[in-house]
Amino acid sequence: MKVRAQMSMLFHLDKCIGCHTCSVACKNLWTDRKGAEYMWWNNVETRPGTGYPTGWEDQEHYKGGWRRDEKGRIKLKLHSKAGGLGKLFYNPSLPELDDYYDPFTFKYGDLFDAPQGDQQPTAIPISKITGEPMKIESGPNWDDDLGGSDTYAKNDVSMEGVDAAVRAQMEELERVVFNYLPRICNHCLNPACVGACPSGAIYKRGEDGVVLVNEDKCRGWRMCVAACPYKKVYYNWSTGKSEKCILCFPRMETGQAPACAHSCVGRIRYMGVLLYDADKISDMVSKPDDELLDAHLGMILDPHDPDVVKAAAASGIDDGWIDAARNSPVYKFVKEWGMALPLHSEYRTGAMMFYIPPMSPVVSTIESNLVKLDLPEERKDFELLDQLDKARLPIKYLANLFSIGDEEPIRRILRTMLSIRTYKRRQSLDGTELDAETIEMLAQVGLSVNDAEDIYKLTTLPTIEDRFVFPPYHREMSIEEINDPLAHKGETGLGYIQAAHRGP
Amino acid sequence: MEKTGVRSAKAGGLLAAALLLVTFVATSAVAQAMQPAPATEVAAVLPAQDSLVAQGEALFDKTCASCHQSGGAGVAGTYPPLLGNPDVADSAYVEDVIRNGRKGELVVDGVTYNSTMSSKGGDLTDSEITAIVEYVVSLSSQTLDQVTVDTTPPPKGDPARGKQLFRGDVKLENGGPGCASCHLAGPVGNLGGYSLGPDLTHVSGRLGGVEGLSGWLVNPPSKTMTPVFSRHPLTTREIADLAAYLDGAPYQQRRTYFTDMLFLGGAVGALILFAGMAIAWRGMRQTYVEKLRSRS
Repeated sequence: MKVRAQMSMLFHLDKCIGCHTCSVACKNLWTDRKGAEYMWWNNVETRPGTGYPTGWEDQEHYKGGWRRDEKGRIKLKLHSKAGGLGKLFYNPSLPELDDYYDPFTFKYGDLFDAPQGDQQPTAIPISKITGEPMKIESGPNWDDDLGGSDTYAKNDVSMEGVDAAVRAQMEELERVVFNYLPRICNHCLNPACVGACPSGAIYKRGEDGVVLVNEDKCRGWRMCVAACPYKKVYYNWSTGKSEKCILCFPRMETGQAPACAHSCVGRIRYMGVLLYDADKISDMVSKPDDELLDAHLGMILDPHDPDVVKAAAASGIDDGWIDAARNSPVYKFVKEWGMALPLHSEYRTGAMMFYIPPMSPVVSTIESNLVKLDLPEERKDFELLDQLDKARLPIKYLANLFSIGDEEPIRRILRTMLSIRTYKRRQSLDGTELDAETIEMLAQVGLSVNDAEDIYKLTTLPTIEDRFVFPPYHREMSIEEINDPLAHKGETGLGYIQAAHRGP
Repeated sequence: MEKTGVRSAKAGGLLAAALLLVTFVATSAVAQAMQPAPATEVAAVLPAQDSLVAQGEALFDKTCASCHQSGGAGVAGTYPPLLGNPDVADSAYVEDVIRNGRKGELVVDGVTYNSTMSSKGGDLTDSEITAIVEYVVSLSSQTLDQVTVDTTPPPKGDPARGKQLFRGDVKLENGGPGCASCHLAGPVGNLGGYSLGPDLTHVSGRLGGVEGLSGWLVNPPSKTMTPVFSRHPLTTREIADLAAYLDGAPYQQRRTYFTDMLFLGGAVGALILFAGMAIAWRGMRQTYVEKLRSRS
């Protein structure tokens, strides 16, 4: 067992209100630069929809991630090593700027400087790249808050396998339904970007699993851009290098949450340490599709297990990290309560960001233009649990996103959430005593009353310390591994940081 | 990082070694081609003349006659005559021109000349220059009939054989390299010749026709050719043939049926290729989002 630590983020989608504060915080901090105008290391997508870049989930087109061959080995979908050479200068799988969007701003200065005239001055849209006037045709979430748009929602790849009647219903404007999907780099265990990089410029950091691009080694081949199935590596046209989400490691090293998580107004994001067994990675990613999700979640080790703790210490993981892993809210949601799933596990990259799928209202029946929920009033709370197929967001759709098409895990999670909601509603709104029926309902999804209370508290009332549990990074210790701090004691240094004053 | 550094340094070393090897082989081959005839020292060839003027004449025939012609008659319009030219009575002037060369317009006997003479100072010793100056000064007061000129008419050249010599189809008798290894003149081959040296298509006009060319080729006075052809001189017949060929070269068409067809075939081929690409790869450059928009 080779234990490693991973900083992982968890997104509670049921709480996301789609305000894009995370995206803006990230943009202001990292990608407000020349060449990075179109990049959104964090973006929020309205689903069903094609996301950003458009249709990133269509791996027939973009060829991201890994595929498992007949012998059970995994290969890059993008190309073989020899094929990669042939595509050095023309790679059809590479998204173009139009697939993202042509970044734009408005000529606000005209509002102030326009000479007096008969018409009001207007701020025309201009390209952020050329500064020329342009026609805005798309944006990073172009069909924001549109559930059934013809161009985008209709072409959502994850709608595959959803009943045709349900799809038709979802495309009706009156039945509009959507949820939000915030996305950052998944800091995978088996990153396709790392596998595809011909220069060896991308690496997964040892101490916290953050996947980074070494800008000194990057030669701008852009294989990573094509190979990443989540399309979370971006090419900076100005520097000629690729860039990606760095999980705000400078913030985490100083004990602060990443900008997107810190600024989240819905407090949907949780962060914590997960311990995993690095020896199992290759075995996990080459499992057949039906065993893949279990193997993926099975990677995560129990930090309370003495064997794991011993192995972790042997692998050089600091005690502070093991403590943080025990208190990790991500570990609780993913492993203890089994409520969170990775996004598109079938890409076989071992994504390490987790999502709690969203609940949605139950479709009511319409009788003579009157909306009526066809349930007896006194049994309503309990009956909903059995009406999951009538949820507005089809279970199949959520399963395509989070559980490789398997509806069972999604049903279990939604039932868990509904049970806790019913339990708390009966307790706080109806004022009913805790009855056997409620306990039975919770037991059916494997929860005790205490578990339900814990989940309720971490979901609705978490403090910032509950949401973000950061280990002590001890950068001074990491540095000692490669540099002896005392080696240069008493020397002037080379004068790069501080010019040396050597007298006249 | 270090590992790849070492690897690339190794690769660089290999590449450099390969380059060195190639350069060495190439230079030694050229050196071998230019090697023979070290025995015939210039000084030994000189006839033991008493008179300085006679010594100067011998040197003049070797060094200067290729342009100024034997006896200094010159070529009207291209190389100024020295015979009967009052300007060359001034020995200081003559020595200066020999040592430093001359450039620019010059009018002799009502004919304007405008060619460049390169400096000969480096090739001759001081005493040799003195001898040549003496001889040239002596020419200034003479006329054509007073000097001994080789009046045997040069053999009539065969342009066809000249072409073969130029292209290297027939080897030069004394082992010199064929002209086409550096030069180009008229339709040498279907795809042209080499452009290492100047294009010789119109050389006849520049050097004064068959007469001028013949003189020039006796001992080609250019920096690149002198060292090669002083060891491997052309024979009289070769000179005549080459001069005849080069004199005719400008009047031939550079374009041939083959080159025309090559150009036409290329153009048609490119058209077919582009048309094929336009049909077979239609929509290839369409982005994903463009496809979605056109579908909806």
